[in-house]
Amino acid sequence: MKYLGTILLIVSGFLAGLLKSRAFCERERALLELRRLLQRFKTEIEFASKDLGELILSSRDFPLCELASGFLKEGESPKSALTKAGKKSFQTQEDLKLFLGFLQDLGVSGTKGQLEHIDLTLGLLEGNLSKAREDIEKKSRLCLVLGSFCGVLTCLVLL
Amino acid sequence: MEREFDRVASLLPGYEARLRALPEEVKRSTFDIRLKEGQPLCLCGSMGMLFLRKDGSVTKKQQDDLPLCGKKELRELFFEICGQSVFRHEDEIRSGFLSLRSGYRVGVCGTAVREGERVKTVKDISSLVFRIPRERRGCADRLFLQGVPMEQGVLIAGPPSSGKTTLLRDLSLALSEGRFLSPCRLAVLDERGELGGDFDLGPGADILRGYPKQAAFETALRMLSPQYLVCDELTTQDLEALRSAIFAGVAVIAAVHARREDFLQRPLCRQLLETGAFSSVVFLKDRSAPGSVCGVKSIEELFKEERRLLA
Repeated sequence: MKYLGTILLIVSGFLAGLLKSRAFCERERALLELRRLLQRFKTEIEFASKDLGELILSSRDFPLCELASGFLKEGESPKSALTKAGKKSFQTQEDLKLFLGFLQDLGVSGTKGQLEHIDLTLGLLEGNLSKAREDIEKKSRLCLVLGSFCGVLTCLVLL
Repeated sequence: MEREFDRVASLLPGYEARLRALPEEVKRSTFDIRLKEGQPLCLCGSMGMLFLRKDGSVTKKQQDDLPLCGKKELRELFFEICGQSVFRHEDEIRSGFLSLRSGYRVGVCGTAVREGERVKTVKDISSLVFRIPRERRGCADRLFLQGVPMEQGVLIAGPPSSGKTTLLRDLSLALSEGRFLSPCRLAVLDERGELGGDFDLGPGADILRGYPKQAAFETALRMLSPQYLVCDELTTQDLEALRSAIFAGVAVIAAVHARREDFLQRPLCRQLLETGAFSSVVFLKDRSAPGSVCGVKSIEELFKEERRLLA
């Protein structure tokens, strides 16, 4: 019984660490999705001349746009739908700030201005992305080790 | 019930309730709704200019207590009617209008940003003019009853807001559904999305929306094999396109800005007649009676009249 409890504590510590480390991977995934979405927007704005509402609906294969299209159907404007979807999709303040900054100037200028705006956001996104990757590299492993260590420590204290 | 007025009013969220509550008579007489920075909302029509009060009533006098349209409000409204996507309407804005998905046209006024002689874009939007399109079934019937030879080309001339588009729309519908003749095939060149709009132009009408005139003429002739080409608001830039399309076995029905009194004094009108695309000119009354025909003249009659005046 004692051994089983010990194993359970160590495993749960490890799982907690794993969960935390997955959050780092999730951040990277969300940023990569955003990069793909921005590239899609760029193409559609340049060649398909779609408006924001149409862009959201035609990009529903992206979770962010799928979420936003739900808000659109509820009667929200395209920008506010994207804002709400962004708030639900991005976990860190840094990424959310980047996304909201992108939304702020989205749609307010001509095609050339919009393409430049997307390019700028893509450039800024690279910074967030490399930071997210760095976090995975360093913190994710640390989380696993810390989680397991906490499990072991708890066992030792209890024993 | 003024359905079109109410639909345009719904594009103006801050004013919608007050505009919808206006008397039917005011709604019917309104051609367009104007919003200008620092000025009250104005209804322009056969009753003249009417300003909207805070309580929803209208006045002809410019008073101090009238609610004014702010710069921010105008900018936000412009952004909203663009569907929050200015880039989508770039070319239209450059030409001074916005064509909305619902088929309405909004005139856009601001400061031009130039690149040489070309207008690159328009900044600092200072006023928006929401035009109210109307369908007046039967307003073109007189032309058929009078025996105007449509197949030889017809030019509709009238001052702004005289109902040229309204007449052209009914004429298209009459030809397309065969109201007087057998149903015909039409190519409607709707550069500004106003002619077709949300209206049904009948089974024979193919609408080329948003095409520049030259491309529209070519596409229509090559792909649609129409009997009639219908287009709105011809300008000097369209002359070449028109010349390339005539004598191709297709009749052209078009509209131009001009007054009856000095029709031939306007170089564009003379040039249009000289192309040989039109055999008759239909003159419209002024803005007091939109869509009402005040006279039909053949080209020969017009030139004969001119010669007589000169003599």
